[in-house]
Amino acid sequence: MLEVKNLTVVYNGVISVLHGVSLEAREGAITALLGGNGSGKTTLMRAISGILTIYEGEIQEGNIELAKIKLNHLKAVDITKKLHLTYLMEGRPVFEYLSIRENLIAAASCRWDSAVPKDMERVLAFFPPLKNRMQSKAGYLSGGEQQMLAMGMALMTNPRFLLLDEPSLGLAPIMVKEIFKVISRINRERKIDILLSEQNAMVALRISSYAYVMENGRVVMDGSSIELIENADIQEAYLGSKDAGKKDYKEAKRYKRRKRWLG
Amino acid sequence: MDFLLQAMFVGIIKGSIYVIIALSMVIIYKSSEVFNFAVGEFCTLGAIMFFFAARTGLPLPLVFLLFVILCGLAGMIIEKIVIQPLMGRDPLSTTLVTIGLSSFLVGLFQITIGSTPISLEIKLPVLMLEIGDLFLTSEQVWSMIFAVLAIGLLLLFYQFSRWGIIMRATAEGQVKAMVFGINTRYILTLTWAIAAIVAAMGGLVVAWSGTLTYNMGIIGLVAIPVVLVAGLDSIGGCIIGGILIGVVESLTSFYFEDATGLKGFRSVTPYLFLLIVLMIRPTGLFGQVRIERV
Ligand SMILES: Nc1ncnc2c1ncn2[C@@H]1O[C@H](COP(=O)(O)OP(=O)(O)OP(=O)(O)O)[C@@H](O)[C@H]1O
Ligand SMILES: [Mg+2]
Repeated sequence: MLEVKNLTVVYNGVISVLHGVSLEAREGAITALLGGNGSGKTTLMRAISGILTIYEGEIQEGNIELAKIKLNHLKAVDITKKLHLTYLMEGRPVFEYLSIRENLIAAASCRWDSAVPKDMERVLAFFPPLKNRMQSKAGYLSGGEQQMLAMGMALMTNPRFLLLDEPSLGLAPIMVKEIFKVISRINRERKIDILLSEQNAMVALRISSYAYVMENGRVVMDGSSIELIENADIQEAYLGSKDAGKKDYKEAKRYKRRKRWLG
Repeated sequence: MDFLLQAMFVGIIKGSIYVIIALSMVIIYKSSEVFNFAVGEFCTLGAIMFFFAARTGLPLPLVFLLFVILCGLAGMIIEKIVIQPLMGRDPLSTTLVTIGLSSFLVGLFQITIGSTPISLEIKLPVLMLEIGDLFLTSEQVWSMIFAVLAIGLLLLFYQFSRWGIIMRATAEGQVKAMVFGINTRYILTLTWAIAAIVAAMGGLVVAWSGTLTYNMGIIGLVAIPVVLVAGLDSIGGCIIGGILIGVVESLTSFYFEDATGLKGFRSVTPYLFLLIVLMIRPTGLFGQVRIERV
């Protein structure tokens, strides 16, 4: 179980981004972390995975525990390697100039053991489209294929816990469905616990069992996913049942901005 | 025209040494965008290490092994002491530090081996090559064999071994590599070790076909036009660029210098060539093709 207690994070010593965030991700479950742009989802995941310092960020207060082991001051490499928690960064973190095969090998390097070749087969079974393109460079894959590869790489690190940061970002609806099906399967078949950050609330709520909603660096709501799907506030804020027009506009703007960043 | 073939071969041999030195620079540049101006001194260091390794009186294969280990260690130590403290800063700071490192090493070498040239004796079977007009001395043939071996081994390691793959991954993005559990600190140290070994092989060939002097690291200057012609981050470009510059230099000395009486003009040709290339293609001849999807 992953527990975050009363976490406060600042960037550059002054910019306060998380203000006392607490949450739990239970064993065996997919836990969703919902929130709009800048609500602090990525910051929380950076703090958990030990890479906050790279972004000049710092945990000022609070605790992060994975199975009762405190993660606060551990190095990112050790968190992945020894505690088996892997953070899959937002925006498809593949190595573009490496082939699919090389990407999977690079990701497996932290646990290089005799099971790697067999494990690669197992991982590829989740992502059939990758199988017959093993030699192509990751940079030339489609967005959906890159996201599959990134997830495959995360699996190659042999995780017991996965942090997935907006895996649906910039993907076509069909692809999103595909990716989320695999996430759900990974959770069930590989017994990997997952904390899933998403703006795409509906899909995330459908596959998760519990969810937290963040706004401006605070958890403003939590509850079982079924409860939240039915909650009127959530529907209004994220699912667009009332203010469909407004939401579409926001989505479009966000997409454009994303495109500019990634392009 | 009987000279042409001879000139070409001499150029290729010379060029392959440039290739080795440039490759050492490129793998460091790719991994951290640092331009290692001390690469010439890494060459000298290698030759000195070989000199000491040979004095142990061990059989030649063991001397080579010792030489490789010593050079790798030296690269690691230099990275730990000089480069790592600057990690996370602008690569330009580190690049400037390598200029300082270069002067420091030259001084250190002068203290260690003095100012008199030393000739390296390596007992290898005589392999002269004489085909028609072409005549290559045993040293030239061995240089060529050695260079091909060094370049080939590096490429095999970098492209196909697991560690090579991890090095390339780290070169693409350190944070990305880190979250997949790659110990990037360790990989950067490894990169410098490999770069030191590669440069050392170049230095060994240079010292062996000439002499070992404390300031022979000047040869490292030629790596700069090679790397720039190649486009900074292209390994294939380095190989072609280095050989091209070697051949141009050799052709100049065979034909141009004799005809015009401009002795020593050949040392300028690499830079002249660089100037012309950069005027036509500012990105170098083979800068890595950026992956851009639309
Ligand atoms: N390195 C940084 N330095 C300073 N401020 C930062 C840094 N990274 C993020 N922030 C700020 O922290 C806040 C939270 O950002 P974060 O990336 O965690 O949000 P997010 O929920 O992941 O948003 P998105 O859905 O857009 O990815 C934002 O206001 C952002 O500007
Ligand atoms: Mg984010």
